[in-house]
Amino acid sequence: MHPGRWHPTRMAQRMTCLLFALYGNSHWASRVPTIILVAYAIVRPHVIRRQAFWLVFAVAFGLGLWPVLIGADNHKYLMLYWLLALAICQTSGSVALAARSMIGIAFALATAWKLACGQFFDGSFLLHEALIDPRFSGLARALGITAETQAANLLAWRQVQVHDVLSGAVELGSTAQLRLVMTAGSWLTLVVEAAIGSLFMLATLRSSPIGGKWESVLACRNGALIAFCWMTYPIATVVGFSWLLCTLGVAQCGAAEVKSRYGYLVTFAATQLFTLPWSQMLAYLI
Amino acid sequence: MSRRTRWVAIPLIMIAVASIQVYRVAAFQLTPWKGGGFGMFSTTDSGLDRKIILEIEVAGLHHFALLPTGLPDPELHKAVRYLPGLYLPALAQRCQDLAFSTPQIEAMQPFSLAAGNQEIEAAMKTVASECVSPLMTARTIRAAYRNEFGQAQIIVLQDSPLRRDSLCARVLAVSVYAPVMDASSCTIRFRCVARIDAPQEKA
Repeated sequence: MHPGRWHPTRMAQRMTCLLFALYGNSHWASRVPTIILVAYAIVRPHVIRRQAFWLVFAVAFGLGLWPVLIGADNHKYLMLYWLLALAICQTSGSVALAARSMIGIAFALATAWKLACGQFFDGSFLLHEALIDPRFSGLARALGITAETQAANLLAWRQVQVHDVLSGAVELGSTAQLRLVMTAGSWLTLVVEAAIGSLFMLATLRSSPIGGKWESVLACRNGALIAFCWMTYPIATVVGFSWLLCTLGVAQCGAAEVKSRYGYLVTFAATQLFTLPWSQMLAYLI
Repeated sequence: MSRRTRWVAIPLIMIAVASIQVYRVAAFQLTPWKGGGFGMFSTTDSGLDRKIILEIEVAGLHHFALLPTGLPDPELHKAVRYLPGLYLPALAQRCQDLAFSTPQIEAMQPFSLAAGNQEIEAAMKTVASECVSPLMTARTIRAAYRNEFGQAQIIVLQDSPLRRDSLCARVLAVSVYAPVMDASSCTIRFRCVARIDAPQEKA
């Protein structure tokens, strides 16, 4: 491995420490050892080069995840896989391949589920989120939903949850403009996620020592993933997932992909700005 | 596995976990959002909004009641919402230990509370938030009532076993419902994703 300060693997390892310290598992069984391990890595930075460090990290995180596994979000699984990758991969090339394959498989599965569930392609899911989820309130207001309609929608949703689960159906107030945008947004999301999944999986196969002989027209994968982060996380502010994707993105960059690496770093930093109450500010302005 | 190909274990683990998740969704009604299969943001059925409905017989009449959040215990309630196929039998069994009553909703109106009594206030909020169904569990009912002078009385929720002779209803079945959005009509309705008949006690 190259010892350089800005080497992709080193950079990704440091980002991983930050990710787990701030957005790791809240269960004490992994929170306490995580903080200790991150503190140790700050005091003795060279320790992040040791596979044993990441193995202990993975075991601690896994043990803490086990009791809450049934309700765990998918990116917690991905975080565990990433720790395992750092623990078992001995070369930067292997780390990059593991990261690349993880992104590819995660996005391929996400696309498959969106197609299989049948509520995404017709815009139902995003419309539901826009009308019910407060994170979408600013966007909904920009597309013609009034504050009164939003309040009425929320009230109707609560009513049906507690009184009409068995027989009731509640009609939510919407606009044709919002439906159109949500349907278009659904298709765009599907296309982007499918593209990211395909590109990263192809990139994995192309550069894998056991893989095929794919030609390289895959440099745009980084741009697609960065665009996805900028498109998704200002609205659905799952900071931990965004940071994990940026970390994996950095780790899988080739030595020549310097701009992409900086792109991921900027996105990593910008994700914190996404958590500002933009939606409420937009709603207030409108 | 050589040093250079060790990374292959990671995608293999991912695919194995995702396969198990697909099986659990199909066989045990696991919500696609959970289980490590990356089905988040694909459906309105995230598990959080799933509702547990009890079919109850009271004096020969059938009623449906929403099981208040956290009953009979918070972990089991959550597990049933996410993975009903696996945990619904245990919940149905536990529901036999709950006693039911048909109280007056008006008795559940918020009372004026002595300032600073946070324990009572918290219990009252719990009661108020759970009093959403015409039929409520005795454990919830026992949390608040008016005494003979019309004053608010609070019994903080406790785990002591209920008296068997207080039973006036029995659970016939337990179901889990999940919300579905229809974009064309812009309506949300609930559909049943899992149902089980409750085990009946021998006389």
